[in-house]
Amino acid sequence: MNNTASTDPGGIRGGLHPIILIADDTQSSRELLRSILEAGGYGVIEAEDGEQAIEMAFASDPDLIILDLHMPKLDGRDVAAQLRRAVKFQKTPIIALTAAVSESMPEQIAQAGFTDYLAKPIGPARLREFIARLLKSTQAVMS
Amino acid sequence: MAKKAGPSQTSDTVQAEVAARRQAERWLAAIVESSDDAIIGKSLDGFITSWNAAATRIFGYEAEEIIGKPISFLAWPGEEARIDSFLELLRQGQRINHFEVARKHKNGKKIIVSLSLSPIVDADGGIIGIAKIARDITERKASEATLTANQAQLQTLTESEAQARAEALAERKFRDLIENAPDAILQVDAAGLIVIANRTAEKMFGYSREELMSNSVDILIPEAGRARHPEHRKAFASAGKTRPMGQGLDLFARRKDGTQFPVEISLSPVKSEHGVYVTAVVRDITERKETEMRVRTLQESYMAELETRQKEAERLNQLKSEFMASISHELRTPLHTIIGFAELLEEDADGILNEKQKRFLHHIHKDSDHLLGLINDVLDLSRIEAGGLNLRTEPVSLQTVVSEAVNAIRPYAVSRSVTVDEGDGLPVTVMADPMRLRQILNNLLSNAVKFTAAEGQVSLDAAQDGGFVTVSVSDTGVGIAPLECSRIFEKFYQVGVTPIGVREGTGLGLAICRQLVEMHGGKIGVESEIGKGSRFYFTLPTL
Repeated sequence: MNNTASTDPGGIRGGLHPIILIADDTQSSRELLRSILEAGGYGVIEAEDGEQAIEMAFASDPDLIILDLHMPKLDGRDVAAQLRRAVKFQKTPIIALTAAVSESMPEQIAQAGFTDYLAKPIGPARLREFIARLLKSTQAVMS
Repeated sequence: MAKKAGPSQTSDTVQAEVAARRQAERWLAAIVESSDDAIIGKSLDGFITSWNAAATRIFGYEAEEIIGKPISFLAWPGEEARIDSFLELLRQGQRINHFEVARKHKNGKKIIVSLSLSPIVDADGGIIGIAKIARDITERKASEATLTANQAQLQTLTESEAQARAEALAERKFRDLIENAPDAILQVDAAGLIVIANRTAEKMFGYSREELMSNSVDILIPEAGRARHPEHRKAFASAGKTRPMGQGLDLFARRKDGTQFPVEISLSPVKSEHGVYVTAVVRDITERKETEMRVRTLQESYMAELETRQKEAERLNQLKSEFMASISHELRTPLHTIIGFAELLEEDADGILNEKQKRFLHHIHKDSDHLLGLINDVLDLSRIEAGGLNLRTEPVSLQTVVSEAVNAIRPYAVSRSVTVDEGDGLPVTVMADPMRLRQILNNLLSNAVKFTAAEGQVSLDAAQDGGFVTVSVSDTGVGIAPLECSRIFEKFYQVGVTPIGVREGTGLGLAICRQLVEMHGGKIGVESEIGKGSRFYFTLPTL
């Protein structure tokens, strides 16, 4: 369990593994995601709902954010929209991970400010591969 | 003249013979004279040699006057030629019997006689003269003529009487027709007065014929319409074509008791010596109007019902879509963790789990995948059927998608020891939704591999035909019976058993493939033979 908070503004902590913020209202989903990501060498901080997700985002400055869409209090879309308003998170990759996939989803996702989305169920290997790719391209943009 | 008496002949005998001969001659002469018919003797060249009393009576000439004259003396102008031809015939020995000719009486009148002529032959056979018997048939002829004339007259009279009767009958029939016509028939004169009214008119309007005749037709029109009627009548009379009245308007007529009823009227002009009369045929359409109203009401209620039902159907469809979306979400969420954890366990398995546990884990993983496949298929199919699935067609390189699909299936094929041959590939662009095209290919390929035993082969082929390309996925697998070929694309229909004896799949894959192919505007089908293998094919429109 690694909940290390960092004040290093928007970037990969040279040497330290990237921090990923995950938000999902289902405990098992959170545990699964944490296991998958930690097995990939990432640091994970969890939020149980949308409000907590925003608090923790501002507090911990994650390198990547994965949000479930359907959450109580504030759902994934609203979180993304709010975070995007902050200068801090303009460039941060925000991913929607959701079981509900509809025809109009891609547009809604993009409109809310997400970088991309993944459909549940997704296997660990694929998920890790996806995130690795995303972080690499973000890193390239940063430097 | 007495003969020289011989020794055997006495003068008495001779005298007796002579007396007898004279008696016979006188007897003959008496017969001739007493005959009613003219008996005339003629010489061979046509001169009259004897003339009896009847001849005198018939022709008017005394014997002394006519004997020695040629027979043509008696001929009626124009008959001369015939007389000559008769003479010729007689000279040749022919007879002429009962021939009707015209002759001239001494007083100049025409008489018709029936002639019988015969040659007079002597003892040696030679023709020495002509005997003519003539019967006066003038009167007879006249009677015949009169009779014929009378008959003709009678005929004419009978005919004209028959005609008159027929006309009377026709007129009666015609009158009956008008009287009993189902519609009221009226005729109105130039001043608007009724001159003809049939029985139906009486019944329809409630007036007796006496009340109608010579009354203004305006009494039959509701007060509201009376003012303009005369000018309408005048206009019609001058324009004068048969037509329905007041087209497009609702017309009403007025009964004696003041009640009104809807009518349909057709008018036709009739020219008479007193100006233009107008015949009107009036139909009471009360019932028809009622029926029309009823039909309209029914129609309106049906339309309303239809609209309600349509709205309801739409609402249900909408609910179904929403249900589908939420169900999809609900089913996927737990499946996500099941599959995820199973895979994680599998990743960490080496050294931690024994073979049996690894195998259990594998089963969990596989069945979760299966469940996921089922959920996806059911959702796809229901979205397609609800019309809620939209294709995002774009120009797609067929070769590219085929290669991708083959690569994706390769691991599975390898695990089953089945080779996959991509074929030569066709450099053609099709109009398709790439994701759905991949889905179709994936489905067909995985079926092909699944139903083919180890060492078998799955091969692809693409051929262009007009504006379409046909993609085939062939295998050397177990094959499909003809009966099943026709049903194989049905929902939940699963064919026989796979080589490893297990029923796999959801039974929805091919149903979805068919829907997707048809949504692209193509067709899907299968050819197969038990034991030999199968060829699944589908068509897509090219760019």
